[in-house]
This record gives sequence, C-alpha cells and structure tokens, in this order.
Amino acid sequence: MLRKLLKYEFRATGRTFLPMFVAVVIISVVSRVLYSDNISQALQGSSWFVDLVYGMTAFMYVAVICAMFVMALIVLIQRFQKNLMGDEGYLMFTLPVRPWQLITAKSAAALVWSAASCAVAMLAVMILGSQYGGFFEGFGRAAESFAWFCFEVGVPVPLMIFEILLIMLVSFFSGAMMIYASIALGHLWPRHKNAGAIVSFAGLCIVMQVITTALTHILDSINFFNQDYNLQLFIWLIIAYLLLFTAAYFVITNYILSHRLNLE
Amino acid sequence: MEPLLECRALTKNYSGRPALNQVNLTVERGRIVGLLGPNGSGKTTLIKLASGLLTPTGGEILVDGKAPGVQSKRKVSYLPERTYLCDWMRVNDILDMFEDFYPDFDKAKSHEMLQRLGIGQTDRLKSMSKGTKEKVQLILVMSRSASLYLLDEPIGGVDPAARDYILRTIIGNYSENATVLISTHLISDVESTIDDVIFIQNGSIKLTSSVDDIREKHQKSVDELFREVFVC
Repeated sequence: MLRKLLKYEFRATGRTFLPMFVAVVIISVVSRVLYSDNISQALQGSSWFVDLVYGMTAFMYVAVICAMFVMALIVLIQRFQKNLMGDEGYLMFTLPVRPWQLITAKSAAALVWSAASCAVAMLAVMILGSQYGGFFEGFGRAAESFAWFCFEVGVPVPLMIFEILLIMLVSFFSGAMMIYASIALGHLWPRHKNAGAIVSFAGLCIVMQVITTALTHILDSINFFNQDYNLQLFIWLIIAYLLLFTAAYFVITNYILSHRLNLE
Repeated sequence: MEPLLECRALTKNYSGRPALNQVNLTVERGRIVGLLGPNGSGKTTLIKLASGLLTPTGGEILVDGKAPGVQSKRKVSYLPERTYLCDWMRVNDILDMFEDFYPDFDKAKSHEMLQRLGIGQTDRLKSMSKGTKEKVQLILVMSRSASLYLLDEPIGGVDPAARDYILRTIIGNYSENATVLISTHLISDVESTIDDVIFIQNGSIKLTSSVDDIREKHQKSVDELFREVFVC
C-alpha cells in the first residue's frame, strides 16, 4: 500500500516540480548563452532593450532557483494540510491504509523532490559557471580542501561524506516531521486550526531550543568541547539527537491521525 | 452473526455541543436503510464516525464488530456530502486509484455507469460542475462490491433524471449481504427504495422501523410520518 501511496504522491507533486526543473534548466542555458564572452561583448550596451533582456535574465535566474526551494517547502506543507486535513482527506482517510503509511509516503516524496531541487540548483550553477575557465578547477580545489580536512581530523573521506549526507537526511526529516506534527497539533484546536498549527510550530521550536541549550550545557560541563574533542562522537550525537526528535514528531502526528482525527 | 453496524452509547461533541447523544443502534446485513432527519440532526456525524473520519467523544461504533480502521475501510464504501476528488486528476486517474486501493472495485462497472451518465473517461475533474463531480463520486462508490455503503446525501445535488438512475443503480448493484445506508431529507425520492428507516433528531434516534411496519402500524407513508414526527 505504501508503494501505491508513493505512486500517487509523486504524480500529484511531479506536476508542480517537473515544469519548475525544466524552467530552471532553460533559464540557466539562456543565461549561459547570453553571458558567454563573445555574445555579451557584442550585445551588451548596444540598446536599452538588450540591456533590459540581460537584466531580466539575471533576475529570472536567481528568482527561479529561489522559487524552486520556496515551492518545495510550500508543497511539503500543502500536501499534508490540503490532501490530508482538507476535503481531500475524506478520500485519503477512507482508503484502507494506516496513518503512518500516509505520513511516510508524504515525507518520502517531499524528500526526493527537495533532493532533486538541490541537484537541479547545482546543475544550474554548473551550467552558468561552466563558461568561466577556473570554475571546475575551483571544484577540484574545494574537493582537495575537504580531503585535507578529513585527513586532519582523522576520518576517511567516504565516511565523512556518508555522515554529512546522513545529517542532511535526518535534518530534512526532523524538519518535515516538525511541520507535520504542528499541523496535526493545530488540528486538535476546536477552531482556527491554521493558527493552532502556527502556535504549535512556535511551541515545538521553543521546546527544541530549551532541550538543545540544556544538552549543550551538559556537554560543556563534562568538558566535551575541549581542544581535542571527538568529532566523530559529536557528529553521531547530532544524528541521534535529530533522529530522536524526528521519532517524537512522527509519534505525535501518527497518534493524532490515528486516534484524534476529526475532519469537520 | 454480528450486526454490520453497531453504535453503543455513541456520543460526539463539537466544541462541547453534542451532535450525537448516547446513540444505540444496530444495522443488519442485506438492508437498504434510510437515515432520515432534518438538517443538523446528526446524520453526517454518524456516517463520518462509521467511516473513521471522526473520533467518538464517548461510547463506540463498530463496523462488522470492529472499530473503524484499515479492516473496516476495506469493507465500507463511503460517499461524503462534499467533493473529495483531487482537482488535477482526470476521470481515468481516479478510477485507476480506486482500482489500486480497493480490490473490490469493478472498473468495467464504472465504465458502464460513466457512459450511461454521459461522462467521458478523459474528462478533467477540474472543469466539471458540482453535480457531475457528485455523479463521478457516486459511480466510484457504487462500483465497489463493499459490505456497507454509507451514502451521505447521494441525490441532493443531482437532477431528477440522474436521481432515478442513481437509485436504480443502488438497488441493482448491491449484493445480498451488503447494506446501504442512505442519509437524505428527500424522503419521497427514496421511499420506494428503502427497507428500513432510522429517524434521527438533535443527535438522538427517534425511531427505527421497517418501511412495511410503518405502513401497517401507522397507516402512513414514510414521508407523512416524517412530517408528523419532525413537525416544525
């Protein structure tokens, strides 16, 4: 059933993301062509209209990439809010599936689209940057610096990459689950459920902040951050910490959707 | 055999205001039941509780002996009083979705009904009128061979010609052991279709009876009795 839910989730969201990705690539290619040395030297300053086109293209390039990330966030919220807690929820909650499957399908699809948005943004930067001679050498130097850093802290490069990706993954899920939990908690409010969701989000932020501060103090008091502190241990502590919050938010959301659902 | 639908002291409050109050009710298999009551009497609340879209404030509701959950949702075919279709879909998409999630969905049957009501399989849901969307939803719901059909105002928004077809479809479609619960206030339209009635008012059950009993005991039609019980 999870597979089927994922299929429909991707269909519903792909309609928004795929055209956006195409737009980002097209505007990147147009920018690449317009800003390539010989064309820009020949054209720029030739008339006000050409200059306007140049200005517009540069603006569009930045705007479309920003819009893509804003959209990823909006879709994450809307697919939960509208498709589950709105009228469409009448269909979704009468399908023979469990609430945890609905939550998992929504968050997994959102993860894939967010990752794809990052990849497309990188591609856009590469398309535009490829005209500059030193661009890819710059990448090479950055990679060397990273390898040097790994060597310095005594962690193999693949392990470090794995850990960074894992942190990004759990960060995404903890953020997504926090939003879902806020919407679910807002749903418990008799009226003004959207306001309830915002207040719940603020509340969860405060709780998370208090716990983080307390934990930092504890680590400080046991002298964890002394000069040669264990970076590996610290990374895994962060991962465990984020996982714990993700699990807590998931449990809250799943409990409310399973035992406190009231689609009015 | 357990009743198909059972309510035990079922209570539902909205912000402290009772919508259903200590309702005890059993609905047997193989019946077409009219859930009849004025606006705001608790019909929709009862149906939504049975579908698992609402959580009871007190008491319990059981479908085939179990609280609403994945198992009951496999057996229940629910038609809400509102549109729940995703706007971006075409008719074909939603048929595929029902076929994917409900093993008891009969696509051929839905094609036949769509054709009969003049709805194209590639029509976009977005550009449909409210009445047409209601027809599509009813076709989806009635193309399943479920044990319990919960139809909330199935004929309220459609024209009289389609209304007759829909009612004929409901009678013609359901199997011997299935029960259809129809909530409506258009009593004269459903009177010839239903076997039993449940009169509900202010969240309480006023009367449960078979239609034959009403005619015999009260010497009245259901419509006449309804007007008498719920006189304003």
